[in-house]
Amino acid sequence: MAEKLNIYPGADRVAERRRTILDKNTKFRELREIPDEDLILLLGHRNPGERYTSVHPPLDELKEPADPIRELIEPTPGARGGDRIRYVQFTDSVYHSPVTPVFRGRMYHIRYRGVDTISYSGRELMEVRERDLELYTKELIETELFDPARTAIRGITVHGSAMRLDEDGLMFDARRRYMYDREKGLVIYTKNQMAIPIDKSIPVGSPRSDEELKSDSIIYGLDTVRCRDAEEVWEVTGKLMEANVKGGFNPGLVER
Amino acid sequence: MEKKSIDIIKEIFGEEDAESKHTSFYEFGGWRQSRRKREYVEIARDLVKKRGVTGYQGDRDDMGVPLGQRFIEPYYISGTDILCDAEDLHQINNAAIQQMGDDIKRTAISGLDMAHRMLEVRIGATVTPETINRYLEVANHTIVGGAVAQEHMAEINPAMTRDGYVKITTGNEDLTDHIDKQYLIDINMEYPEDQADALKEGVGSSLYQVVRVPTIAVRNADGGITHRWAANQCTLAFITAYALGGGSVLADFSLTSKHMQYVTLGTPTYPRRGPRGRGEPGGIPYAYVGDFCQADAATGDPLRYFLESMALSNFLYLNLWVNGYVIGGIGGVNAGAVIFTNNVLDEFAKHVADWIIERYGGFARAKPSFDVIRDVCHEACFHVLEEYNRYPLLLEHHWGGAIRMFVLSILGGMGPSFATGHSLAGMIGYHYVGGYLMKEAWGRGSFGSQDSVDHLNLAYAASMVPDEGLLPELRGPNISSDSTNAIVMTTSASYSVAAHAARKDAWCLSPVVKVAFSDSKLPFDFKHVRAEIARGTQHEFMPEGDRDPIKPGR
Repeated sequence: MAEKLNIYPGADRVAERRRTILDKNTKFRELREIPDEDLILLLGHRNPGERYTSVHPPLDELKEPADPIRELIEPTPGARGGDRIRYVQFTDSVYHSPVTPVFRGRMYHIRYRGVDTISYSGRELMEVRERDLELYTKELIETELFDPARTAIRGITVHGSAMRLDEDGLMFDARRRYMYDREKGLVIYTKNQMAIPIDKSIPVGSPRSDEELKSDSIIYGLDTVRCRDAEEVWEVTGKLMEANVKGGFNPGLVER
Repeated sequence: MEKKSIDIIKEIFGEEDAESKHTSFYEFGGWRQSRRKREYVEIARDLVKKRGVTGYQGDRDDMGVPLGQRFIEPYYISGTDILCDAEDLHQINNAAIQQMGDDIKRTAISGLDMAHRMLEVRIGATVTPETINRYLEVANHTIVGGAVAQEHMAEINPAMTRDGYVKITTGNEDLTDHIDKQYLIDINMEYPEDQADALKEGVGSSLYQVVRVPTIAVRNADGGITHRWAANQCTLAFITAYALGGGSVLADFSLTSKHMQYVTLGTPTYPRRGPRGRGEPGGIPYAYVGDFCQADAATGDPLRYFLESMALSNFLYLNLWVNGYVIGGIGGVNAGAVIFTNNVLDEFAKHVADWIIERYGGFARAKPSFDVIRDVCHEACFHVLEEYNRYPLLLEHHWGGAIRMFVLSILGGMGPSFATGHSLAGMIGYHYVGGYLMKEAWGRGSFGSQDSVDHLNLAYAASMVPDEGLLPELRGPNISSDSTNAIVMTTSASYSVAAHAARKDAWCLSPVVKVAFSDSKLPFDFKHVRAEIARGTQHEFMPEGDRDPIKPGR
């Protein structure tokens, strides 16, 4: 009998949203369009129009040793082209950025190929071949996974995720990479992710309302679903904890 | 949560509303808002003229991130009314933190019973209270650098070693009655009656020597010198006091007196941890934290004792070991400060303690089980997370995941231990909170890969295989498998100290070590850890081990 993937436990709306985020088949809603040139400027790894820097010749030009894994795994475009590995890092506000670092990490592993990633409390780093990075980042910024006010692109000086919001509802950034244009209702980046000024202003869209962000939030808490009410999640974590301890001591003690 | 900590945080931020999610930034005057940073800029401007090389330039916005774009809040030391800047809590800026570490590193404890037996059986000497007093008098001469066996030795300026001494302790009151009081750590004088009785029984009739090698010794070398310094100087004292001579007999006696009953406070750290000698913070088992800390003697409140111990743990493992030995330079001072500042952990811990008393009828009443661990950890974790939700100002104060994990992991270790009096239950709860609860509640970790350690340690929780685990009381930063990190080192003492505090035990791991740190002659008062550190923040703490006596003009 075919098993159905659970993805994530729980019947509440936070759990439901977590399942959506972690489902590799989810087609996220596009909320804004960021021109490729602007995306490249935000990342700051190369100039628009500049060719990708290679760290090795394209795979097609290499004679690689025989290896069954190479037959099984299709190289990503960036790997096939020999691109260097570059990075993007997002900081997610506790005030309901659409994704959070831990779920970003899990989603990256499920959704994107060839990535290396690490979760912190406020940020998630992704490292991947450069042209793959640009492809993945486009989805991460243009869709509902990004909110201009509560999500930020930060390669350095990343703190601010648990700070209060400023007068315009923006997450604090000690490097002031972006500002809110009150007339246009848009968040505008004037620096790239490394906080190096760029010679044009790049709008990344309008912030969503608090209500919208809360309704799509994947964070348990007083604003959404209380932690205490997520009983199924804690049932699972409690089982995992017990199985870890018993299994480490004597695997025979773990219930099957 | 009580209002006191929220009131404190409103005061230090200068704000009325702790529940608003909005504020203003970039308007605080940058680095100028900090008294200490202003001082440092001035000091550095003078220094550059004298040394001819640029140094600290905290006033430069182009040296990286401009400092002070957000409000830089000062800190109250919990349990005191002392307000300080974060800089005052750095171990280099705080003499009390340094002395606390020095007093631990320079302590050499050894049993005297085997040495005395050697003297009587092998050498034929008579050991009496009078000869012991004579020995102690000589040892207090040799330990500070006085010569006894050769006349042409270069001796040490006693002003440089003025805090070195040798004392003894025992649970045998027939003997203590005959020991010169200046050389005695008197258990009856240092502890409440019940605790003193338990400690005397624990120490037994054996005689232990507590040596404090001079602070300058460990500042000149490191904790590894303590055993050697004490062993050599005390053996010379034995030779003099008992007129010992000969070759092989003396060699046997030296080996016995130096090493056979030596109490190792910290094991040598293995290479992957950064190799260090004995007695360094990285080799000290976590449960000794509860033995170094003497707050239980000063207060009958297990919670207060627990909190003072956690402060000590922070200074020992985070400030002195992680920041001082592993990282260097700046480090995690702000993160660890949540353990002992602004009353926050005090109130969170009190909530959990009160909840346990109501649910289980008191401390150490619940039978250890996975259900109890889950029950207590869920309450502790969810309460804290809800308070962060309720007070965004508090959350801004605890602005990083590592900061919040310091709080949560301590409570995760404390809660099940308080409920059951069982350190293993606390240890499992500790790693359960770190590995699962905050992460699944908020979808956030701590610092990168922080929780991997918790997952590893859950699987090793019940293991006694040396590569994997140990009894919780014997665990420390020096167990292998790389299963530790800065948070685990700093806060793991929580489960052992809480378990023994809940049971009202007189000590956590060793009655001898407990008694050794009760000595009121120590420069650092281990009964009042937080108050001592607070004095350090105000530059009111007088440390030992300086080079004043040999500076120009002295």
